Amino acid sequence: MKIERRFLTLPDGKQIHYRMSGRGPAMILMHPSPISSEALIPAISVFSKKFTCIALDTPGYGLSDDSVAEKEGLWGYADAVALTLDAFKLESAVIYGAATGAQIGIQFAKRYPQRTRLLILDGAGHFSDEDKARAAESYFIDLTPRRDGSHLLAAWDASRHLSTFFPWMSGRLEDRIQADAAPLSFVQHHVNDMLRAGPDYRIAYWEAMKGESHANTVEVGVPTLLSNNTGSIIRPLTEALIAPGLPDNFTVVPSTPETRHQALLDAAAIYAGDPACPAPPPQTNTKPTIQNAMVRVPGGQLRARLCLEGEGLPLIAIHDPAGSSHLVEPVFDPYVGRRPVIAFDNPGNGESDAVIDTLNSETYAQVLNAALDELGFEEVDVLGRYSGGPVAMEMSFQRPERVQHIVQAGVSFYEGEEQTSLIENYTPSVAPRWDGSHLMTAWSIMRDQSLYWPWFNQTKDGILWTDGAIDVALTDLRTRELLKCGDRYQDAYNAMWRYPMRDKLPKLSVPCLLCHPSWEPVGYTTALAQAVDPRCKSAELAAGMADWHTDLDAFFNTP
Amino acid sequence: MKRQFVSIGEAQLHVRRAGEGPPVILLHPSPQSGAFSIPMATRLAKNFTAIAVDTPGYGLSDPIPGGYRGPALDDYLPPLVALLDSLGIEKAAFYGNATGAEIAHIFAAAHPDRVAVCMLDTAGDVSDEFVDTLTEGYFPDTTPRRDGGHLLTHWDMVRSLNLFAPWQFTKKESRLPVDMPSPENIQAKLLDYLRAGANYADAYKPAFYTAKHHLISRVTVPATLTRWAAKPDLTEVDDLIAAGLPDNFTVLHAGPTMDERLAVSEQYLIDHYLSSGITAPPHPDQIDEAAPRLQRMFIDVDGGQIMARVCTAGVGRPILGLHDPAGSSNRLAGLLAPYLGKRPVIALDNPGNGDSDKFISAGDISTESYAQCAIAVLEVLGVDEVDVIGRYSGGQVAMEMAAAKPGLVKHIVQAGVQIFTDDERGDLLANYTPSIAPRWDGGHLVTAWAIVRDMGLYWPWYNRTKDGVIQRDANLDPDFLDSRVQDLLKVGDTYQNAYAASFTYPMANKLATLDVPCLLIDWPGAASYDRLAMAKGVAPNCVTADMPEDLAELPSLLDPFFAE
Repeated sequence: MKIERRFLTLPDGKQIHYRMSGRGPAMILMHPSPISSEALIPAISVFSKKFTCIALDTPGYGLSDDSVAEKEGLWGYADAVALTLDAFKLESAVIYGAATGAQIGIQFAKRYPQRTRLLILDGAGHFSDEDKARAAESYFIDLTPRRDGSHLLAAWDASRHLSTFFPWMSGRLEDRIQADAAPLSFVQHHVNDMLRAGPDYRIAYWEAMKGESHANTVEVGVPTLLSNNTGSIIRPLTEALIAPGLPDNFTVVPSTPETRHQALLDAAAIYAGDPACPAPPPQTNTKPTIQNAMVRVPGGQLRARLCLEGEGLPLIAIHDPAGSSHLVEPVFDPYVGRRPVIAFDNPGNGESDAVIDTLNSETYAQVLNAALDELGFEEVDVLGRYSGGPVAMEMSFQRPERVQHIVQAGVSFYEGEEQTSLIENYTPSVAPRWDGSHLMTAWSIMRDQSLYWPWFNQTKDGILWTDGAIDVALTDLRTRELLKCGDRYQDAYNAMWRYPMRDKLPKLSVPCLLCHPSWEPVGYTTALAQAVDPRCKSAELAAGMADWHTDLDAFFNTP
Repeated sequence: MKRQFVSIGEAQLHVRRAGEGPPVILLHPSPQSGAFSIPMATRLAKNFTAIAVDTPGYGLSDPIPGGYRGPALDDYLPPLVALLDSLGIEKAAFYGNATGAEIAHIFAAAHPDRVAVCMLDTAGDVSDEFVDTLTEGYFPDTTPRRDGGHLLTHWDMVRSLNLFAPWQFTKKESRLPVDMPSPENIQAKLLDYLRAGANYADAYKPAFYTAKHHLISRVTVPATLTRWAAKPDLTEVDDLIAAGLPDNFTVLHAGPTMDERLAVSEQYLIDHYLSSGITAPPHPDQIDEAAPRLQRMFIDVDGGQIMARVCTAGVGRPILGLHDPAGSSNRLAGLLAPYLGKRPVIALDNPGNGDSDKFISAGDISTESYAQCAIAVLEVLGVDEVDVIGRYSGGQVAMEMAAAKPGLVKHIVQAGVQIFTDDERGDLLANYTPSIAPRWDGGHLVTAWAIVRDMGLYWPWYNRTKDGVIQRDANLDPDFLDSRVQDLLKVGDTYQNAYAASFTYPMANKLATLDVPCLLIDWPGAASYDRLAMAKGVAPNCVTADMPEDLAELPSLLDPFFAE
């Protein structure tokens, strides 16, 4: 089964991220809170046999923009589904929702009955007033980034205990889930999803919980399948929904954890006759803003942040070893709408698939060249931040005709004892640990990178005398990206430390600017590299990325 | 230097005391403890009675009776008057650092009859507007949270004291040109923050607003102000001097070393106070013997001091409480509560645990060495017969006490029985006690928190499978977990030795040959409940029983047994 991820852009410019797979009539799938359509992959794998599955990230969750105002309640999410159908030029679809997704489905079916061929409710139930009162009190936690990193621990706590109690914050024996604790990878994944949704993760979640009742559910007038799965942790709530009686348009579909999706597919089979497949709409619109797009490369997809409006050669920006496109995006500010700009998440970083196992400048360059081929760009200028510089060089070595200019902002030139020390100390493991303490390691690394160079030299000599220390929002963004990347960042960094700049730079056949921002702790490498290859130009850039364009344009305009 | 408690009403203040001669009261910076004052107190002890006080609510001192009301530092004055009264000290020299200096000068102004000399080391003149800027974000909320995140808030504060002044600033000009101390060093300070808890700002915050020329000028007794050349924010001191100090003030100019800084004050006291004729009587009783409540006291034994919670009110044979490997006497309060005022009660912190000195090296920790220590404590207290209530390993220690000194232990109650199969023992030794030694990123705090939390969720706590689920309500109350984690952090990695001693204790043999009546009890549903039957299997003479859910009912279970 092949699942493709795509974005679509709503009329207001906000984007919806979705997963698409299968053949047949359209089925819109909606996931539980606060996670994403990734959680629906098991459902897609079954439903895609007879339907074209379009699994949405709810607005504000996963990679979908937050396009729903809190005051709109669940109706706002239902409207977003309607806009999604419009984008696909679909009059109607089968609507499947799990947990929060089911409650959004209910609202959609109530407001848009004619656009609901069939409603499938999975993980739906009736919440008592007592359940709601408990949830209102302590179910939702504050995920606002804090300078001590403790918001990460809060996310870990809430994610971990999803598999120990329902509701998760209980300590009561009667609420205990008699099961093994979830694997660490699951917990970390859930943490990543919570952090993607951020402090507003509660909005759809709570709206769904608040409204989840027998009274609301029975207002649905369209044909509806209600899953009653013996393995569901909310089964008592589902039973409480069924017990008072359901209207004739409802069919209860009993299942076990093993047959959960197949039983629903069987019950929905009569809606699967029409073989017409919906075609995906374009990912972006022509607004001069940076938007998301997924780009096919061999083995999977890369997430790109891009704006293709404007004249001239596209400017490609490549991020640092543990980051994502977000970390280089500010460079584009002055260029958006004037020339095409594209930043990819490296494979395995950010939101891109991990399509390569061997991480080095050459393999990254191969994937990025393939992505540019997919987009149809022959000639580009490339800016690389830190490790992005060597990747730009390798792109040029692989495709000499493609790369017209290279900017290396933070030059990767490490040798001797410094190189050895960096390889040994810079990238301790941030793999998930049972207690969540890896989150503190990740946070501390990112915070200390603004305090010391290298961050592990926490002596007087290592102090960075800058004003940029402990920027909570930036530390949070960088930590989230590091956690997505996980221990792959060790290989990504090591490729940078080991890059043989001394040998490779003189072999470069395109103009190259070696530079760094004024506060750059490794600014000294610019001069080291330039001494090796005096053909290169050099510059000290402005402190903020958005102000680099003056120096960059002077270089790009050089023949 | 001896640690002692002093009763003031129902509260207890903690002091470190050394030397003889005219008394000098030392007051520390916030939110630390009298441990800060040890270097100065040690110097002074050569000629004076040095008494380093834990400010109420900090260190081991109880909070201000009735609680801090604020907003100024005045609430701290009545407890200090009471302290002098309890110590039998009419008049003393006061030497204060930072918050301690602020308290010292307002105390001297309010009670000139009790202050011979008022010495301000680290004091200055700072405007309210400047303090407002300085303290914006300085005092984050550290109320215990169920995820343990408050530990990281504390860690961030303590660590950042070595990055910026004030710690929460992030601009270049606020950066301190210093090495980051070791994690162990940060942890030592952190423990004082944890002891002060969520109220750590009570004295800390108003102290900032008490650094004022007009307040300091109200002092009429002989006074000194230290101007230490290496002080980071010297302008505050110079501003204070420039504003004009009254004639009773002497400015002590000290060179840049710590030795020079302390020496100027010491010399002043020698020159101006040593021959004052003021004296301090010997330290009073640490506890109120008639009070029907647990009070803390330090007991001197060979090697160091043991912290005990005792209640001497009551009649009959004393009950001795012994705690679990990672705990402290604090963990016994619930079990002992029904006996307060009825029988004498003594609960100990094992050496290295709680607030007892760490005088048994990690390698020498054993059930026998803990037993010897408990025996020594009872000898000091003049107790020659006890009934013992032990939690987990505490029961084993009671058995060793009985073996080492026949006749001392009359009955043993084991609440939670540490008996294991060989397979279990190997598994426990390998997995139960991961390192919680301080790590650079504070992650050890997360580990410690997760261990004590999971002890309520799984048995053993690391068996996070369906089979490991403890079939009881879990106590996830943040204050409860915080108290347990503080105990654990105080023991540190020595808990590995303490647990190993308990896991490897030959319980089956020892129980089978025990010649003291022994009652084994546990809560139905507790992870260790099945141990009762296991122990009964090897030692049919032992009696087993269910722990009552309401501990007030404990005597109806225990008293018939104690009467045997």
